[in-house]
Amino acid sequence: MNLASDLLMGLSTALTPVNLFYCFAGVFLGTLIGVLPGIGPPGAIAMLLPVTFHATPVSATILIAGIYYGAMYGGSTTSILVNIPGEAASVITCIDGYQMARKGRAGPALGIAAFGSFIAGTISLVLLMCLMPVLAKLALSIGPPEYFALICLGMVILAVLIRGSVLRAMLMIFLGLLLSYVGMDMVTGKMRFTHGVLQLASGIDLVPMVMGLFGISELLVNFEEGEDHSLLTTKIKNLLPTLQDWKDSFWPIIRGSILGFFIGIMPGPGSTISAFTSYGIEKKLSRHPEKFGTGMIQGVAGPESANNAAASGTFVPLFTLGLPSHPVMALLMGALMVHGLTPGPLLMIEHKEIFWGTVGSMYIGNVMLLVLNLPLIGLWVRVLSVPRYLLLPLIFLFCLIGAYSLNSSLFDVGVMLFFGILGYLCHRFNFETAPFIMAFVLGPMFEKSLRQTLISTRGSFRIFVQSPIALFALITLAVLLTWSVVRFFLYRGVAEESKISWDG
Amino acid sequence: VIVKRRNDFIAGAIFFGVAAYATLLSYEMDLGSIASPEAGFIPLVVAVLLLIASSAFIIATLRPLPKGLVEAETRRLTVLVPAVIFSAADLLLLYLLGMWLATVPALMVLYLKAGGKSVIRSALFAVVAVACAYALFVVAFQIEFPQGILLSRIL
Repeated sequence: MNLASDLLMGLSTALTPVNLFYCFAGVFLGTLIGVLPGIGPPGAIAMLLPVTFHATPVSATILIAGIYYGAMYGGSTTSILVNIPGEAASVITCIDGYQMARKGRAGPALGIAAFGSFIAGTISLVLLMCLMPVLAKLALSIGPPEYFALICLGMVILAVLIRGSVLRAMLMIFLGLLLSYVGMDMVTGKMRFTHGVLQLASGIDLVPMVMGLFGISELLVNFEEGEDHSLLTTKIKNLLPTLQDWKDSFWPIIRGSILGFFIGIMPGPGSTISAFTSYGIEKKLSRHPEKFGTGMIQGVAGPESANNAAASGTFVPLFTLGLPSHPVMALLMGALMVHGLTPGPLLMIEHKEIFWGTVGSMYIGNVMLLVLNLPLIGLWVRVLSVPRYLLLPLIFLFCLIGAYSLNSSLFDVGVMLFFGILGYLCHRFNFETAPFIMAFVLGPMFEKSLRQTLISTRGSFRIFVQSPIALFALITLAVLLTWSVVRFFLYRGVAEESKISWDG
Repeated sequence: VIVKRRNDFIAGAIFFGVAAYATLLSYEMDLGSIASPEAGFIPLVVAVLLLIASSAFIIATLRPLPKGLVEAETRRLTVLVPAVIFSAADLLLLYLLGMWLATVPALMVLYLKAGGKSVIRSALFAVVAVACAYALFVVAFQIEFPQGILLSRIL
């Protein structure tokens, strides 16, 4: 595979007027969502999914990718200026970013966050380009036993990494798997858990479910907790960082970019974990760790670079293995499947314009974000002053239209409202919804690969020991579960509750 | 036996109930054998796993949380009942009046509940928002929306 010619093809695809429009719309909406606390990228993408049905698969992917990495950019603005993270991944930026703003250095903080994100986006794209074709070729040699083992490993990693105890996450995973079996069994054609409801024959649709869990539930939480925020009134000047700022930020940006990309590949809240890890590393490597928290630019540059790079990393498992590692990737998978395409290694070969077009658009999108975020910073700050009574009804309107227009069915609207209330209850009872969504998406693949394995081996599990990939995955899974149990008894659950929340 | 974490106990009991029901339903399906699994085989395995996990979760609620941690905050489920009523009413209105007419009062309610003061402004906002959405989705994207059973009969 020729990297240069593929990249050129991708750039030419991304530079068509239609795709440029979708790229701009994606990064613009992404920044907007990143700035606004409350609604995250999965909810926003779910709302806009019907729009992608009218676009080509490349344009749809470009739009969704743009919203995702655009939100990472936008999240830093509110963290620095108002001490309110637009996204969970920007929580750590509040610590030093807001202190910089209080000292009158909001401009350089915003500037380094934007430039750092741009550099991280570019570095992670280079890594993405180099890694994906190799992994996609490797993925072609993977069979059902390996898929089954990798799906199990992915779900366990997710359960171990996210906030709350592993047991809570496992409950959500099993519930997600069970709901994914609602509808007709693809092998035998028999109905499962439908209770005679005709609309459930093809299963529960992912889009209204995500809209409910991430859109409507956020709306309900907002109604309960919503508060208006006071804006920083000082004028923002000197957005360009000084030479000293650049010297201080250079290595944090490089380290954050590489770290973020590789953490992003793992299932789980990659953007959030990478930002926290990057902050910890920078503090450890600094000659003045005691000054962290008082407005150190390294505390902004590292995490902001890491969370942007992680956004690119999440594309790797989807395009190489066809396994989404983040709710946004699950939605992207859903959008591609509407167009009759299944993400995975074959997509990289048969429809390479989708992957390379998206990569090309990411380059262009990163430049667009720089232009959008620096000169228009005042506009994004003003967005925060949009009153809740205008914003919340509009979110509801988009969810309503989005859910209905998917299948022209009021049943889907009902599904969305049901999962909205369920998502709100999960929030209140401290259950993360991301493992549920991931398990729901992976459920059919989980079942298919296990059934194929059992049929081909006549019920023997020896194949899992004979395949090196499956064996490695299952040993890692066992180590992770053992570690969780040991940690639970050692710390009596203290560490469990302090883990990082999902960045949906 | 004293439950130390009431809210977690309730959550665990709900999971247990769902798991038990799913176990029964999948047990009644064709299970096949391990060498040739049928429609009910994998759902039964997952339902049993959920049953075990929820039992473990319920047992865990019998011991108190470690010092410094607080239980899931469920005392303030203030929007739960209004949300259920609103959802049911909205679905009924959508069925009777169709997407556009039903959405205007829904948006008005949300506008006022989210802190908007004036009823007239809420109506104005709802009508403008619905008109814009209509222009975008019906005129531009040519998506058809339901007219509603009542409206269809009148028209």
